[in-house]
Amino acid sequence: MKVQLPLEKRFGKDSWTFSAWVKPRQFTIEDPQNQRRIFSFGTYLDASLVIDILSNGQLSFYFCYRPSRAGAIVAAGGSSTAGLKTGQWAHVALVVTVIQARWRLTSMASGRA
Amino acid sequence: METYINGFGQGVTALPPDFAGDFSLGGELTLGSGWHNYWGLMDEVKVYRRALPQAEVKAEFAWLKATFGVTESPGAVAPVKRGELMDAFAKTREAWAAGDFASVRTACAAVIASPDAPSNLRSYADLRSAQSYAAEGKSDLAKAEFARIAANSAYPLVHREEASDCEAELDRAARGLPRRDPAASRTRVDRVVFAAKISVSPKGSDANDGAATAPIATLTWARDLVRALQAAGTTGAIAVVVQAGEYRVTGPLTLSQQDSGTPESPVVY
Repeated sequence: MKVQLPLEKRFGKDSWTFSAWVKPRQFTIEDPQNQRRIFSFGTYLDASLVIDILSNGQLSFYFCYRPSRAGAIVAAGGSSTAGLKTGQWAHVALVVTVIQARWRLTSMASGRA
Repeated sequence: METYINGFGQGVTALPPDFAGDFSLGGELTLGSGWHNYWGLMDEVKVYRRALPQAEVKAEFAWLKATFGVTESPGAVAPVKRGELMDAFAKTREAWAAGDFASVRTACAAVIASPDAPSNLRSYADLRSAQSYAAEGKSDLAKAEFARIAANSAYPLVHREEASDCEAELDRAARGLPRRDPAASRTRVDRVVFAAKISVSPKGSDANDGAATAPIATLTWARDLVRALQAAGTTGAIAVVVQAGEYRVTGPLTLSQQDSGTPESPVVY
C-alpha cells in the first residue's frame, strides 16, 4: 500500500510511534539484502524512515537524512533482540523519541567606563 | 528508539546526538512494500505523532492479544509478571520515603497477595509492612506481625529469623537497651588448628619441604604433598597456604574428592 501524505501530515522533526499486528508468511528472499519492508516513509537518502523484518525474523529499523545535497548522510538504526515467527500473529511497535535541542539566548551587558 | 514485540521492549537505541533530520521531505508512506515486499498479513496499523510510553504499548498488545490468538509462553510471561511485581514493590519505597506508612502497607499487601510473587518477595513485603508499624511507633502491632512472619513456614528462613530479630529489637528498645545485640546473631567458630601447613610461593622451589620459610613452587606439587600426608595417615586439617604472585602453569590443576579431605581432616587451600 502506498499513500502520499500532505505536508501537514508528514513526520517532521517530532517523536512518533508505529505499531501493527503482523503475521509473516516468509522472511527470506533471494537477494543479498535479505529483508522485507513493512513500513517506510519519505525519500531514501534525503529523508527516509524504514522498518523491515530481517531474514531471521528480527525487526530492523533505519533512518537517514541528508542535511544538504552535497552533505554527508546522517543515519541511525537498530534491531530487536527477539524475532517474529512465521504463521503467528505478533504485535510490533517502534517508539521514536526525538529530544529537540532547546536554545536559549542570554544577553549580557558588557563595556568599560 | 525502542522496538517492542508483543509488548516486550527489545532494547533501546539512542539517536546520534547530532541527529536532527526533518522528515517532511517527500511524503510517500508505504506499508508492506516500498522495497522487498512484506509477505504476510498486517492489521491494526497505527502511526502516532508522539512517543508512546511503555505502558501504552503493552496495553495495546494486551487489548487485542486474544483477538489475534497470541498465547504467551510461561517464559515470556514470567519477566512481565516480575516487572509488574517490582513496579508494585517500588511503590512501597516511594511511600516509605514520603512517610506514608498506610500506603506502604497497601502496596506491600498487593505484593503479598500476588500469586506470581515468589515466597522471598512476599516475605520481604510482609517484613516491610510489619516494619512500617514499628516506624509509626505502633510496637504492639509490629510485634504481632513479626511473630506471625516468624511462624510462617512458607517463608524463607532468613526472613523468618529477621522477623524474630525485629521482634526482639522492639523488646530491647522498650527496656531502654540498644536495638540490636550483635552477639545474639553471631555464630561462634572454633579456631582451626592445622595438623600440617604447606606453603606455596612463586619464588619457592619444589625441592623445598613446603615450610613457611621454604615454600614450594607449584600447586600441583602442593596437592601431591597433601596426598602423601594423607597416605601417611595424617589426621586433622591440612592447609595449603598460597602466597600472592603469578603462577605460570603448563597444564590444568586437577583436584578430586580426595583433595577435599574429610569432615574430620579437611584440606583447605
